[in-house]
Amino acid sequence: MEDQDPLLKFPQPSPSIRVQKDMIAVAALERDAELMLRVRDGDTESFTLLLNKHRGPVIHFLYRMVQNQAVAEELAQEVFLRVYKSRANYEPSAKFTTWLFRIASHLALNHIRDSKNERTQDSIDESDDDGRTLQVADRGMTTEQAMVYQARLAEIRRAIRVLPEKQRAAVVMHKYQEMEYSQIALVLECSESAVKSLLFRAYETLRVRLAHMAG
Amino acid sequence: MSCPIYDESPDLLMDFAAGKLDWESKQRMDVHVSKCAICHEALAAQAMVWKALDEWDAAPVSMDFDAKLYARIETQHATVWGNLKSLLLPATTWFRWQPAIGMAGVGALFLAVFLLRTPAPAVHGDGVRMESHEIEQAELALDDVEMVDKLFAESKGEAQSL
Repeated sequence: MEDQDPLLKFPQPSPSIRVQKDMIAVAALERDAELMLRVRDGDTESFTLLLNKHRGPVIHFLYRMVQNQAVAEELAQEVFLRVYKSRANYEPSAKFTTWLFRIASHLALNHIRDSKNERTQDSIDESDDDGRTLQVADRGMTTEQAMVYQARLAEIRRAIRVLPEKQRAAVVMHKYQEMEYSQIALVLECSESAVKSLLFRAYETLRVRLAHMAG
Repeated sequence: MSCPIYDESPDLLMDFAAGKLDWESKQRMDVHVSKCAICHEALAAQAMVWKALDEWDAAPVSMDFDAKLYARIETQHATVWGNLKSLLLPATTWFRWQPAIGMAGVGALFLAVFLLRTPAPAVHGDGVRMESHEIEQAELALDDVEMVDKLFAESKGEAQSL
């Protein structure tokens, strides 16, 4: 049935949708770039606006990468400090978030590589108790439900953790940050097809590892 | 059994699962998935993965995150200014705590300025003067020799006449 499938020549999104998407992207690009240019000119208020907008996404990205809230916040501080320090040389050549997440992913990948031999898997698990406890409390679960949930969560986190670093970064950006392939490619400094390949392999691994959680 | 979409365009499946396709593409994909067992199974598995990943919320950000960041920025400013000061102002600090050395330095500076501003003797003019003096002396010496010769000749003639 797949021999004559017309889906091989799958059409691109219709022009109207593409135009709308591009306009939103351009507006966001201009807004963040404009704020950063103001920061370059010494306007600290604009830095606060950028921080308020991107603080959450950056910390959540780093948290899912390093799986430790304290380390994630420490790395996020470094990200924003680097943004502030390099304000004088800022040129709006790329989307602000691409630049921001490139710094964040570099720091995260370096941290993962540096700490790979230093930290045992057990210590990583222990280090994230704070985050999990909060999630359980927020969901208003019984003790039994909380235990089941924590076990599932531990499996999900472990499944993500054992992915190769770049696959992990690609999945986190694709799933949680809802980034386009092109932007992930710019952040990870690789081609769009390489990103698609990274994601395909990562999701395939996750499908196998999390298959027993279905149903 | 294989599927060209699953094998060659898995991103299409992901976009379909994520609801990112436009209406026309979505319709085509709906038709394909209803006939293709591979894609159907892959979509179900993908949906299961995403559902599982959705359970993993990120922890809330610490309340003092911004305060810590601004403190680091302030420290950075202070460090940069401190480095600049240590580069630019060591001499003034030295003067403040070592007045004698400072005064000696100022004295040396005045002496240097005084020596540089004092007009040096004109070496070329002096040389000319020395040269004319030497000629004068030589002429006088020749005159003396001539006079001695004359005296000697006169005394010789007087002796012969006697």
